[in-house]
Amino acid sequence: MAILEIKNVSQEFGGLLALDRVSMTVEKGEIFGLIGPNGAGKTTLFNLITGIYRPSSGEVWFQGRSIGGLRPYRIATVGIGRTFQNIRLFKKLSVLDNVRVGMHSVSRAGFVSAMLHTPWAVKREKVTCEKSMALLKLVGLENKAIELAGSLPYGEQRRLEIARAMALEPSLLLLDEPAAGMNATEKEELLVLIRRIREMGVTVLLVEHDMNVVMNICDRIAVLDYGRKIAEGTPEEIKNNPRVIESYLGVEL
Amino acid sequence: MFWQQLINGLTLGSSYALIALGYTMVYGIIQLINFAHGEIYMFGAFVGLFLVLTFKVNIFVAVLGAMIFCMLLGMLIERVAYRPLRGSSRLSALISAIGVSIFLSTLMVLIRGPKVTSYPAGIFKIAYFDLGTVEISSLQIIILVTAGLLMLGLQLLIQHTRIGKAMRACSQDLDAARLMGINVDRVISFTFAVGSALAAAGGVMVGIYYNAVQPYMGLMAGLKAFAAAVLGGIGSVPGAMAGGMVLGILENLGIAYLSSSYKDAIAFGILILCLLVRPQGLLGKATTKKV
Amino acid sequence: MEAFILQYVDIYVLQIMVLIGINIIMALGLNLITGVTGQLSMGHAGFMSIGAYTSAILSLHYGMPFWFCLAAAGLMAALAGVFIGIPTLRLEGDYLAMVTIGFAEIVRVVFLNLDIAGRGMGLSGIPATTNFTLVWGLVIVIVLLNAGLLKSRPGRALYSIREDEIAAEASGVNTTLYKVVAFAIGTFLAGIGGSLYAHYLTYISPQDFDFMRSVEYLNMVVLGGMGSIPGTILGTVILTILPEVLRFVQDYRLLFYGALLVTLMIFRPNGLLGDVRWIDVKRTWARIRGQSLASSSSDS
Ligand SMILES: Nc1ncnc2c1ncn2[C@@H]1O[C@H](COP(=O)(O)OP(=O)(O)O)[C@@H](O)[C@H]1O
Ligand SMILES: [Mg+2]
Repeated sequence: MAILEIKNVSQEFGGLLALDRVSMTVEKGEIFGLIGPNGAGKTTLFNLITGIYRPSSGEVWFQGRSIGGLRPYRIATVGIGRTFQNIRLFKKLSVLDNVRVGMHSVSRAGFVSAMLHTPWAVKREKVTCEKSMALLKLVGLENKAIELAGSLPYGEQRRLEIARAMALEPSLLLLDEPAAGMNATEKEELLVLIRRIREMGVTVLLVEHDMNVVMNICDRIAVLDYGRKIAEGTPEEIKNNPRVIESYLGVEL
Repeated sequence: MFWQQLINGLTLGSSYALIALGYTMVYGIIQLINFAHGEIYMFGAFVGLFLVLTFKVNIFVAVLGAMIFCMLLGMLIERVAYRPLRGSSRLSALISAIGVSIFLSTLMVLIRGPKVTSYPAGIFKIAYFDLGTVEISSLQIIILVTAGLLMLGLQLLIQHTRIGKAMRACSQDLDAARLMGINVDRVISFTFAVGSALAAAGGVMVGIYYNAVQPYMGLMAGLKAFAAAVLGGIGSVPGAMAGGMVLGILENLGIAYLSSSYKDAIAFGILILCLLVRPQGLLGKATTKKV
Repeated sequence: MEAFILQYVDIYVLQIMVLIGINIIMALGLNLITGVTGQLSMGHAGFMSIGAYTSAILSLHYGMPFWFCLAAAGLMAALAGVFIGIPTLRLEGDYLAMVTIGFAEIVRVVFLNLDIAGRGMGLSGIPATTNFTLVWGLVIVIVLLNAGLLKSRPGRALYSIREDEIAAEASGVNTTLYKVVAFAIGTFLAGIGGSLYAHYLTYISPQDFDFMRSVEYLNMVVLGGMGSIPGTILGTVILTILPEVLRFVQDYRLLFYGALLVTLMIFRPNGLLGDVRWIDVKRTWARIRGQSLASSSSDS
């Protein structure tokens, strides 16, 4: 069953066609890889799915409904979590608070009950706190809960972003170059983490440059080049696709 | 009546345009509302006044002197109060800019006192030309022509010089410009210099036109010029020129046909309306911020 | 209560205490908008004046009871806040700073030209209902509510907007709504502060609420600590007492304020207490204690 359908989307920036009639379908429960050289339009596609950009044309469907034109917070609320290529944490909030903000749409307490400290709000807070700690544990940051997010080393910041995105309780998780800047051990841990996330029932759409990571973990892969989708298939098929080798793998590997 | 207000509006509008250009150029490159810009305009007006009173120079020399002074002032402000904050949050930079603005207007109060200063009567000989239904003064002609020439010069600078090209590159993408080997610090400094010089010219001319110079004149003028820049499309140079003119004309028509006590409300109303209906302004393009 | 306090406290000191209390309410409002949510408002005095005039007019011309006036003052100011907040805050960027300055200027001109507001003369003979007990009672209530807010879900959402608006949206925060609500609460507090001020001085005029007063409130928030309640209170206390102590340098006060803003932004952008966390203080303290223990034991 398809969880995400991208239908013929194009994105133009003042004359530059960053995405050119791209279509793809992500199935529920899979790990779907998106690769391609720098500037191919991968991040743009993420921004478009999450409502940060409005596509110039085309549609995005999620769980059987069109989400084109929805504000980003609405898209997050219907169950799409994401991380950013250039990490965007709330630097001056604690690690725990970053995850708790991620739980915003899951918890419900409003302004009045928060100000009045109603027992109901206090209880919600406790639940939020426990769930957030569980997520920190998932990404291995449970000992860093009270640190400021901005003070973490790079690799941990990337994992914190994943925890924050998971706090939405998403059904689809978009990861934009999660392994960038990580060393070999960290990358190994990341692979384990992504698999765990999938086991939790979350579909993963992954942009990554490290071919080891991508080929290792993805069920299917799509390749973008200059805004066009030039190939789609299993890792085996992609590795042997002449167009892909010519425009991308040949250079990188 | 209408045509007369149109001419008065164009005169006023050309000075708004001169100030608005500084806002828009700086915003285009570093996305900072240079809050102290109105105070630079005010300093320009005072320097012009000083030159006229002390050295009995003519308008053109006064304008030129004020432009040079404010050019240096603008670069100094950028160096001291904005450059150290280049990597900080936008809020910090904006608050720093407000600090500069307060500092400069208070400094002028300490130097000159808070009162309005006027040019001595008869220091400029003003001729009036009767064109049938409208009357235009030599002063208005001087202002319109000077403003026109300055804007023309700016266009030439931006379109046809190396530094102009660098400015355009920086406003497209600062990081990319830096990677291409453009000395970004120099371009920003230069942008402040040019913007400040234009504001100073506006200050001298408005000071002479209304015959009133005052330390707090920068706040309202700066605000109106900002409204003009937003109306034209912030970041767009032709937009700032057009926005200034449109605002000047609307304000004069408003004074003529509505009431003069609320004349400052007109610019504000336009600003709000513009943000509601067309935040990218008349000539600005809706762009998508890169994420 | 008031009489009881007066037995022990000098009237001049009491007067300053009341002003501190009113300023704390004002500054906490601005802190919510600027310090917590990161939206720069430069027209706080304008919203204060709306509250002050609403309250004064209602009690002088319509004989309304004080509590009614106080509530109406807060609501009118918040209404004005929502009115300019919606077009401005839905956009990303720093438009709010300019829009609020313009708005405050216009409000001032309107009161200058309004017969019912006494034009340039202002309004006098406003019932003197504000006193120490009332002001500080309200301060305590407001601090408690504010602290409750900042420590919970909506408060964290507001901080997240300040930190990164796009990431906040991607985390499910309706940033426009939260910005407008923060602005409404902040301007509500400004209205309350204005009402208390009017009923304390019993005389108000448009000059009381000029741009420089907005700047003073901004300074209180910025000096003490952006986004921090103790910080804001500290900044308010310092900047309310300082001008009283330094009366002889009155003329240079604004010069100092301007320089202060620039210097703080460069060297301590979060103010004195803005990024000081209780937890870090405790940790540092523990470390110092640990070190001194270690060194004393090695000495022996
Ligand atoms: N908001 C934007 N405005 C203008 N150009 C953009 C914007 N976002 C992305 N681009 C351009 O679109 C192209 C694709 O970029 P991106 O999606 O970031 O590529 P990738 O993530 O595959 O490296 C690039 O040329 C980039 O400069
Ligand atoms: Mg990318």
